[in-house]
Amino acid sequence: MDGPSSKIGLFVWDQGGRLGRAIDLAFLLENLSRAKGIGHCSIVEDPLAPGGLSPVTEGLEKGEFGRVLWVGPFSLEQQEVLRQQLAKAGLNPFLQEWCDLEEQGVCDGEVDQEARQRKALVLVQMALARTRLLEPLVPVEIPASQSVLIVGAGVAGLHAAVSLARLGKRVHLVEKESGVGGKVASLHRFYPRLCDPLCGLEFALQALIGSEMVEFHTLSRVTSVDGGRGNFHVRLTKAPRYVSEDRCNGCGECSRVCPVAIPLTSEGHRSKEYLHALTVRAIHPASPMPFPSAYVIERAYCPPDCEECLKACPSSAVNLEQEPRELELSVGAIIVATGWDPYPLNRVEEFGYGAYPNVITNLDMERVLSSNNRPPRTIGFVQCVGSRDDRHLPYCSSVCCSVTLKQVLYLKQKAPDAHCYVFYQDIRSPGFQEELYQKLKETEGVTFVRGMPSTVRPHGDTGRLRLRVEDTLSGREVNIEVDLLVLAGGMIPSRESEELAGILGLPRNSLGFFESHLQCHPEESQRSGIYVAGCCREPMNVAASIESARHAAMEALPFLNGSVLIKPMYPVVDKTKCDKCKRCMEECPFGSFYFDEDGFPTPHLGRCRQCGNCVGICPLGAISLRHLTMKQMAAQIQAASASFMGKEEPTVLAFLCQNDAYWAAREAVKRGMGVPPNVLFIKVPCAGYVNNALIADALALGIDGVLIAGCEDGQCHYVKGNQLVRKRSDDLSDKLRKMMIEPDRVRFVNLEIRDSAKYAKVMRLFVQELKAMGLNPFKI
Amino acid sequence: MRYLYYPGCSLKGTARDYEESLLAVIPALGIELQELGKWRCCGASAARAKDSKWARALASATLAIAQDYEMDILMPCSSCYANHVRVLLETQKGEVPVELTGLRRIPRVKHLLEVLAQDLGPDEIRGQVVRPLTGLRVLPYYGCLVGRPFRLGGTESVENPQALERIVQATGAEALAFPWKLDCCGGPILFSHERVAIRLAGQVLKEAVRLSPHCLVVVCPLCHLMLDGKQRAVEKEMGQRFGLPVLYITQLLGLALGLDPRRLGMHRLITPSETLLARLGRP
Amino acid sequence: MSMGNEKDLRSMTPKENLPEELLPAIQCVQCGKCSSGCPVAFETSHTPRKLLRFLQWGWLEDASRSPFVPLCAQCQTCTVRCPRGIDVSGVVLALQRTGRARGWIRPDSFHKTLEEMIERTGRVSELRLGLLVAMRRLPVHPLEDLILFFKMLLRGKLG
Repeated sequence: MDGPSSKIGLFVWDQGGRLGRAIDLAFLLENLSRAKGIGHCSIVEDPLAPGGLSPVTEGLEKGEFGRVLWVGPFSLEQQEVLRQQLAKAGLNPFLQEWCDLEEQGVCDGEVDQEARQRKALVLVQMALARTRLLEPLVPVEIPASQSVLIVGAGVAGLHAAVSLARLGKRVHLVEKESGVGGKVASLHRFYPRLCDPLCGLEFALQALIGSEMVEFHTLSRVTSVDGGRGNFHVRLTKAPRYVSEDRCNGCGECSRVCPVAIPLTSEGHRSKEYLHALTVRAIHPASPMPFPSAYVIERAYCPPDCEECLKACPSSAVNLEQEPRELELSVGAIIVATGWDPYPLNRVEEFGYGAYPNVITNLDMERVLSSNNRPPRTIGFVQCVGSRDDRHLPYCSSVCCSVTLKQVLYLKQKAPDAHCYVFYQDIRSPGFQEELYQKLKETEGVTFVRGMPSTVRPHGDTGRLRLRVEDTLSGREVNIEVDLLVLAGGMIPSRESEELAGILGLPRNSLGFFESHLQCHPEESQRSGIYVAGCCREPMNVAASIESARHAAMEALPFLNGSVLIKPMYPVVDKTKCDKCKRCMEECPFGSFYFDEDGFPTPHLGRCRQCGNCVGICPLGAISLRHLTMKQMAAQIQAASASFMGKEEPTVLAFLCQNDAYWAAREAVKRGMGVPPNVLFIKVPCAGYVNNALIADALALGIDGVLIAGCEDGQCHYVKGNQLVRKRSDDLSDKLRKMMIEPDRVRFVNLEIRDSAKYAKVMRLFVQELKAMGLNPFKI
Repeated sequence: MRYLYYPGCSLKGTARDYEESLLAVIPALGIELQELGKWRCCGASAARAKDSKWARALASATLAIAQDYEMDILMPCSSCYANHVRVLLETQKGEVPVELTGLRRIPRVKHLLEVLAQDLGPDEIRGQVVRPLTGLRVLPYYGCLVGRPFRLGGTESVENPQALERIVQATGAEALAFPWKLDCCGGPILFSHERVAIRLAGQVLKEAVRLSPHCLVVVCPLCHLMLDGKQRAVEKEMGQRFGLPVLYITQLLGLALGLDPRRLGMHRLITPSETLLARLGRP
Repeated sequence: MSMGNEKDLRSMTPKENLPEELLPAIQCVQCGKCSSGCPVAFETSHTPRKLLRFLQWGWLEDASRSPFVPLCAQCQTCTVRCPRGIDVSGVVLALQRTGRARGWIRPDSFHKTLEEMIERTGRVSELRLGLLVAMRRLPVHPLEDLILFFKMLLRGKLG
């Protein structure tokens, strides 16, 4: 195309005069003014001052050029200001390019003037090569839903719902039980204020009930999810309640006539009076919390042909023929709050859970405390059962110590004569909970024993249990008989978390909890638009779950605005080149690819994070990122191959990931850490972007060495781009050998953001080794 | 089913009745045993306390002789069993180079209990029972080493194995639940710390009689020595009469199979078993 | 600050002081499960947990000479209960081996005889062993043991 928009306006801003002192700027500009496609070439004085941009805006108006290349040390903020100001003058922001000579070492006084001059020219030529191929791009707006799906209506799910409903978003709360509240609703009290969970959860519920923005889907499960952020298509299955939610008002007439009583305690525990056998009728209020108010029927327990509840109901709410239903929803974001399950303590056989009726878990203990029964005289608590244990759960579940302290406190309030023993390895009562711990230590009838029993034995025929421990603090043997033994067990991710992980394609860590970047982005999962809150992420207490939920809600908000703006740097697959090998689909760290109608892999714009790993992985180079295309890269590499260092010096082309490696390199040059002048670098979004073809090209054009610098393992901003590029090195070595190029001319290095010294050292060594290897035979 | 038979030192001496009853019951159970020629002592716990290489060499010697046969090795003694399995696992996991053990092929080592409970199975045994021991209250006692640290047969629970209970039940007797069934009898320290050992045996017997069993059943010759042979000394130490007959599992099985008690070496038991036999209607 | 025993403070470098087979002791969190399950834990002033703590400090000789070490019946309870997967029974045996190699522990006559028997004949004669022990040290209940001896003799159990 030969119109005005294809010509380039080149402007140099010598901030601080450093460039002018380092090289002959006038000479440089003279060379450049003859370059292909240049419409204008000059130095500007302070383009950010009022009127300073007029040379550029006038040139644009006159049609001298249609795109701009800036040369000089522009900061990111300055670049943004220029983009905005020139956008007002009608220049598409993607038709601008920046070339910083300083950060590439051109102002390094140690280097020979001639070499510096030539290097400056090469660098600008590289930038020009790209600028010629820039396209005017516009962000893509995809319509998005203003609804959010929250899976799990426990304390985390409810609070996330509150946050979002308040902001006018439509909330779909999906819950597998007949009622909301989750595990917290089955607790007796939760710390630190020993609140009744029904009271605490009421606060959240009040904000949700009656809100037309909130829809509860109880007895429901998610069966499939398609799509990406802004546009998820969700399918739910709703199990039959057998009671109409519209008609039932919770009067309870049905329960009174129901002939079936279902026991709630396990058979092994029913024999003890304080573990009073609780039962519930087959038709009963929603559980764990009686919201929604409609009752529910455990149909499996109904005797054949029994219709007592149907007959008794004054509101005709019972429907014994109800069938499961399917529902489809469209949502912009998903919050997963599927919570936890207790680790099954019967697996820790030495403590006899399930074998002795008076051995219970800390969760069972909540029920004991809720009942009106008088607790027994002597109660033992054993901490860390099945936790911090290589044979069971290796981690600490954070809350169990606080739970035990709370239960001891409550027990002493309820039965001041009771004696409690707490057997522990460590008591973890962080922050302000220290006060509770100190208070209990001074309480009469509470004994803390630092020593773990390893088993439990029946004490004769009394039914009591005997524990023998070494009190490690004194080294003495201690034998204690208790009436009741409470095992403080840990938390594991709930079964629903596992199921959902499969449906959503969410990775989990080795312990089964949802994988997230714990420090920087705790609630963000690896799927855009899907957030994870509460105990399904890691064990935490109620207060932390609520905070986590609120955070997840905040993170989800941008996808609930009716539309999502996608930056136009997304990948595009060239269908004429693609052979559908699917490697992009398999390696994309975010699972963004799907098959389009023609069977070609295509990235879902809502899921894609624009890292460019697909560009790197494609063996045919068929994928390009718009605004950083393979052609643009190839053109830059071609320009870089011009020699500037003289016949005997090797040239190194470095691809630096813009997250950590680039900053390390920049700092290394700025602080004069001895980066050799032989180095030219190109910024890439991720080390994984670097396609083998680009490396081979560089070497075939005479560049002596290529270095790819990415982040350290575990720190890559796109999960594993730094590893993906190394994985391809075997193929690359084969390719290079076929071209008669030594594979040793290619190096990979991992850098942290402050590894400037490491970068400088690596470069120095590389240049030395290249000198020893001899120059690239392809060098002109 | 054919097995190589490694008796261990005790079965030729103080546990002679264990071997007697074992050889007596195997025909009915369809088991054939071939005693390993020139077998040597497994080293008990003394060998490993002196020199781990020597201890390993002792067990390897057995395995080396056995590798030329196509059969698994059956061991009636828990200590011998544990020592051999340890070397076996070390060799399998590559922790010990094969040159050191000199093994070309790694044979399998099974405790008698494993053979009875898993290879044979309670159903097979039940099928051979002619005089079911109905009404007999039997306390199963495993001792330390048969189920730990190596799970019996790779599958039984380490804290609550049920293999012995299943066999006892197969004979028609009642297997009582005994929480102390894995507690140490004191055997390994009998000669070095006698009093402590006797008190350990005493604790087991004390808890045992509380459950009113008619007999105790064991699977290890050292446990038998402590609980049967030393029962008088234990009674003196604890100041309590026990009078509890202690049988080998093979003797219990033999009674259920209708064999003559003399053939089972019952006359060699130290604690009298006349009442027990009378209860079963046997001379 | 009072420094206590200079030797002690310098010794918290187990990797330099301990033979490789004792290094698993570093994993110990001192929970005490080994002691609480051990049948002989409280017979002496040292429990198995305490021994592991000695090893964490690198006090190898103290651990090896401990009165607990010869008392261990190798019942494996500590090994199967340890949440850190330490073979505590194995550590105790390793302490015996180390002690003997360094001259801190001398085997008693029972053990010497037992070892000799195994090396020479490859089998153990319980009769010989028992008599030897009885001759060195009077049995705890001599009358009962005498009766036991005769009963065993008569019942052919002293082959």
